[in-house]
Amino acid sequence: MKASLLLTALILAATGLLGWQQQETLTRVREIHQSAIAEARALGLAADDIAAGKLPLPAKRAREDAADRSAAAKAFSAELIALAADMKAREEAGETLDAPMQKRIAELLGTLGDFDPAQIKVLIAELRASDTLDREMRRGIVGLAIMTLADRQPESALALFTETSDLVEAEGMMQHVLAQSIGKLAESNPTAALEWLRTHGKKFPDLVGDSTRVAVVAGAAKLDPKLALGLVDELDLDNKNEVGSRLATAVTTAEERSALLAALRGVVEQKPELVGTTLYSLASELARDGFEAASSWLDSAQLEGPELERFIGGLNQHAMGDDTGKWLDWMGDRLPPDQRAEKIGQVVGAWTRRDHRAAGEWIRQAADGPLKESAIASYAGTVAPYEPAAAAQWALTLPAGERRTELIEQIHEEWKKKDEAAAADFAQEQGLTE
Amino acid sequence: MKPFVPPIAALVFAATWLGARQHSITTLERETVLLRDHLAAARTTSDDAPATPRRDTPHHDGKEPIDWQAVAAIAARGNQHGIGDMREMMKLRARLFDLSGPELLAALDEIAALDLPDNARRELEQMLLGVLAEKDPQAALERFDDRIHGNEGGFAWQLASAFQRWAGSDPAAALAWFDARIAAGDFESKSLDGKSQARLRFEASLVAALLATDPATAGRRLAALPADQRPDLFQQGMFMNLKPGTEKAFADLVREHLPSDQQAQAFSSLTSMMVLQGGFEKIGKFLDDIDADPEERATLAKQAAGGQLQKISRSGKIDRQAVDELRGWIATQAPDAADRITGESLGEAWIQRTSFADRAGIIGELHAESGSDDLLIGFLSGHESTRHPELARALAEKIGDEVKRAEILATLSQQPEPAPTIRPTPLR
Repeated sequence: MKASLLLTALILAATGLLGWQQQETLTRVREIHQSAIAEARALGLAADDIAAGKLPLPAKRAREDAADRSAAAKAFSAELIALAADMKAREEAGETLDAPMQKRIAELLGTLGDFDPAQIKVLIAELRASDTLDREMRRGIVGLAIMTLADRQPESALALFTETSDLVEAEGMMQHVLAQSIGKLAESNPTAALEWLRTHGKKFPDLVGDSTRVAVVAGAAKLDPKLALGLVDELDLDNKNEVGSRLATAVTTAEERSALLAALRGVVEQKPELVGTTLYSLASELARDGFEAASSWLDSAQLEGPELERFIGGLNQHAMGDDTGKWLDWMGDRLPPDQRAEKIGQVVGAWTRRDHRAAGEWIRQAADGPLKESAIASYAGTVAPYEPAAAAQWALTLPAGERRTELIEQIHEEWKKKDEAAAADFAQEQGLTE
Repeated sequence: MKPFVPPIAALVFAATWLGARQHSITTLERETVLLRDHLAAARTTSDDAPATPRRDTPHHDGKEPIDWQAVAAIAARGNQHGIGDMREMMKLRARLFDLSGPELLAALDEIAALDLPDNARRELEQMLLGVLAEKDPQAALERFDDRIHGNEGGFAWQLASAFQRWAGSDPAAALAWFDARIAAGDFESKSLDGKSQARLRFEASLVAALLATDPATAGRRLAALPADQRPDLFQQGMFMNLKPGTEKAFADLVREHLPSDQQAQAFSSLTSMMVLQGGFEKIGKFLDDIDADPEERATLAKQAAGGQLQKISRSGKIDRQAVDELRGWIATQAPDAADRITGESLGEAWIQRTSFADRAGIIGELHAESGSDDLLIGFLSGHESTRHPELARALAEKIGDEVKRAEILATLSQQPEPAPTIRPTPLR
């Protein structure tokens, strides 16, 4: 009986081990399955029916042979060339593109997105042969075709790009196309993107510039920010502003941003400038998402010290928009006292120029204290050239001191330009010498 | 209990449990393969299958309604520097043109009720606005009247363009709507300088539309603006595609209502795009159409030369042949100033692929052939020469006029201007 129990225990232990291994497999397979379901739903496919085997594969695509696809591409090319010529004619006639024309454009671009690499090659050949299009239009369409392919098959897009280099030449748009394609590849396979750079960089020296290499770094940052930061040195990228800006725009979800921040914190000793420029750019990207979403991420990020300083430095009025008041409150709670006056002053000044009523209203309801005083000083100084009387009223709410004295003198100077008598009265009231 | 029972029971349990899990794995893998096959087929099939399904917004064309949540997910896959799922978005856009105005408004209601990130919602709204503006510009303006002042560039411009389209097709109705909104205070300025960018954008849209049908009213609208705001009207980007035949009316408007020192900038709002679209030929025709005087010709020829150099530099280097063509054309418009303008254009233009040294080389060649001081003086008066003092001084030494030569050399000996880059202070 003892042996029997021992055997049972062994069987159960082995079952547990196998089950644990199975669980890992099951989790992975489930994730892939869920991802496929989500992708199918996003594309408008009946995912549940497909998974249940109820729907056959689209027969048309399965049956189409290369000749059919090539013929379809030729017919499409003719239509696209005619459309481009039509657009050009309308542009020259000063006509806007009406709704039917816009619909036609959208339909054709949608169809272009369905093309496989072989069909895009046919399209390029047809474009080359066409004497309807000028050089610029031809390049534009080729670039667009490659870009649409890059989204789905970046490696094929890069191969096409390489093959059509005589057509694309050293053209600004083609740099953009290349950067898009290789950036997309780097998002899923940074190694392959680097390999392409190594293999083809010398062949296209005018095209494979900093923007291409930065695109690889930015693409890789979505997948592996630590690797991406390592590539900055490997790819010899000196312009840390550009790299920081692209890193900040590449990461769009809270998870990606947190991963990038963690990676940045790991290199702060080696790459302080890059860390700074990235946080600086990240600020405006976050602000564009709205204060609520941004502050939620910031709560988890817990920026402090120099990190916080660089982030706040990047918050600009344009990106903050209607949330400027909320951002001011947020900054007021976090800025060290020695930086508060300058930063709050900058933001309030810009806000006042853009929307003085909203800025004034925010100041009115702000709690008394150093933050409010900095805001008042900036507001009054900004308003002074336009409404010196109102500026004076605000300035006089400040506690006596050097800042208030300087502000009153400034307002007096501005007032003199608009109304000397009123300025003189103000000077007398405040004991200023004219 | 017999001793073989527990191990057999354990074996049965193990087989059942592990078998069930293995079945789950196999099923999921099979389904995934099926899904992947369909996804691949969907991506490479040119069928006009609905790019985006499924629920909610009813659709009159028999296709499945649009699932806006899914569309938002597709749109979110792109980012600011990416192309996202352009194919799906284009197919969706094509479908949107089949919707009526009320259907588009219903779709906007549906999107407003969804739990979406702000930027995703904005992107969808902007896509629908573009189509609604074509179908029913008034409905588009009224639906998004709270965005007229916004600092979201795309929205603001789309709304002004919708208004321009409306003013072109039904000027009386558009004008009445606009004036009523102005009277209601909807276009009041929020900024300290008293300028309402929204009002200026809409006034510019209206004036641009009226030029073709009622230039007198266009003039009255412009005249009714405060004098300091009139030049701003031409900087709103609404005159870039002027209707052929309205060039003279445009020029009359500029000449009548703007001070002479502001006119060139107003003209450039039109010619800057013209040179990119039609080159020197189009600019030359425009100058003829508006009966440009010599001063206008010289000013606009210089602007056009700068635009043309930028256009060339996007596709390659500027070579001697391009400069000869440029100089030849300028000479037809401003014979007395051709060398100065040629020099200035090459010295000042923001040129990407042709180094200062290469441009200096071309200017040196031209000077050697013509002996024209104006070429050198024009070239060296640009900002860039101070950043290349050695090259610039070598050219300056060739200036024949002693006084001019001394002036230029004195300028070059001053502190060079820093390159226009903004570099925030490092983190540490």
